[in-house]
Amino acid sequence: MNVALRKQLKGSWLDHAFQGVILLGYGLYTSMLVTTGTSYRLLSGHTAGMLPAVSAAFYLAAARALIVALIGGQRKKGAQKHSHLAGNIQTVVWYVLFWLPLVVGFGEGVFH
Amino acid sequence: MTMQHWIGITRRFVIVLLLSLFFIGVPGIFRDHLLHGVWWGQSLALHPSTTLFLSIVLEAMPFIVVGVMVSSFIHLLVPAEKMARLLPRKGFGSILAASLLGLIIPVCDCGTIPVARSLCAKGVPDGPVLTFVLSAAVLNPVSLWATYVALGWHFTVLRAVATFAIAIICGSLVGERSHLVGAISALQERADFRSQNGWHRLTRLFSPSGAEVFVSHATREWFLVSGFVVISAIAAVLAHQHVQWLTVLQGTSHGAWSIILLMIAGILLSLCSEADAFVARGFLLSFPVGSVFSFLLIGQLADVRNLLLLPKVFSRRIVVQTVAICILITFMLGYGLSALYERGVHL
Repeated sequence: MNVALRKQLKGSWLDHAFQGVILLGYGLYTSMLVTTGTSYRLLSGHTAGMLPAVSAAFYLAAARALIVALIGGQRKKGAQKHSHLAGNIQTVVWYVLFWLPLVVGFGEGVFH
Repeated sequence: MTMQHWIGITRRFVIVLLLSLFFIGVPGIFRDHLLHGVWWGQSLALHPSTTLFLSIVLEAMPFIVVGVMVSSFIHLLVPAEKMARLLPRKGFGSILAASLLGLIIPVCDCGTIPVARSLCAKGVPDGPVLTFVLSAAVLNPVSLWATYVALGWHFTVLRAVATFAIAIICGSLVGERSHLVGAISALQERADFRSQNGWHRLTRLFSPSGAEVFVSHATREWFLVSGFVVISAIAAVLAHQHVQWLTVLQGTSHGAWSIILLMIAGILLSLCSEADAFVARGFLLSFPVGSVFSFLLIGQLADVRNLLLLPKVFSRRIVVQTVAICILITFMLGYGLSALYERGVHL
């Protein structure tokens, strides 16, 4: 497989941990929408029909990301750890953005 | 495995657990306190804005997932050089073919620039390449389907025709010059795929390592695109909440200010073509149809992401000329549509 592309796709293990957990959250949420039958109440027919497959895709991607987070990923060198602090903060803020739909979703979408 | 490795894995496991608690546990367990408690003097429970926010994100999500999967599949399976060979090199036919290339290569606007660079590298003139960049994000099956689901077939046809026309106009004005700015760049896809035949590529894609790269690429794309959708959904909710202020701002009878406002929003938000129709549906609650149409058009033609990426392929003069034409035509079309609505012509 393409070496350059592989390098580009390999993030730090913390990146993968964030991604895995968020994807797992979205997988859980979408599958709860499907199992409780809420998807057809909340969404249009087309979108609701696609949700089981979307949920499966989320779980698959989450599993991969979590495995990489636990046993793979790139280790950061000591020197690099502090030099990219601004970048790291930006990354964390970007990931926290994905928390909002989960809060609103779990609160309103499934249980009410 | 040494003791150090186990300590490392345990440390990672604890951090993953903490992240899970924040991202899944808090929304799941403390939802009542978060949403049904009183915040800044008002309860968020069943607030229309949270419902609007949720509907925009949820409706867009399946299409983004399908979009990134198709995009990753094409990205890994079809080498960019192969696409370059599909295009005729000269005359109006090449511009026409380039405008419809998106129908068989469903890449969203995130994926058009790498393809465009490879087209340049293969000696395809700037005109057809520019036409492809402007049209492919909208004139592709996934994007058209998403627009149809969100806004109906009238909007879908209008959007497709307008994008097609603007792309043809911009491409024709640039013509057959070839700057080859993109030619100097090394193409990612070159390394392995070039020497392999189609069947070999397909079998490798379904091998464990190929599948891993596919899922990894799709995941990266999903995080890139979905973040912008969340930001845009927040923007749509804020716009909806402050509709009275914005109505005052419109000022003119055809809502010229609202067209300008949503065009700026479209440029700044840089939404993916698979998701923008769902955000636009949110805007329809507060803005005239013409403004929302302008938002949809300009968002794929000249958004911030394109403004940053286009100079990597084309000369500065072409970029400025193209952006100016896109903004002008988009505004005119939006204004015209609003005027038609005011005279009672409805989609």
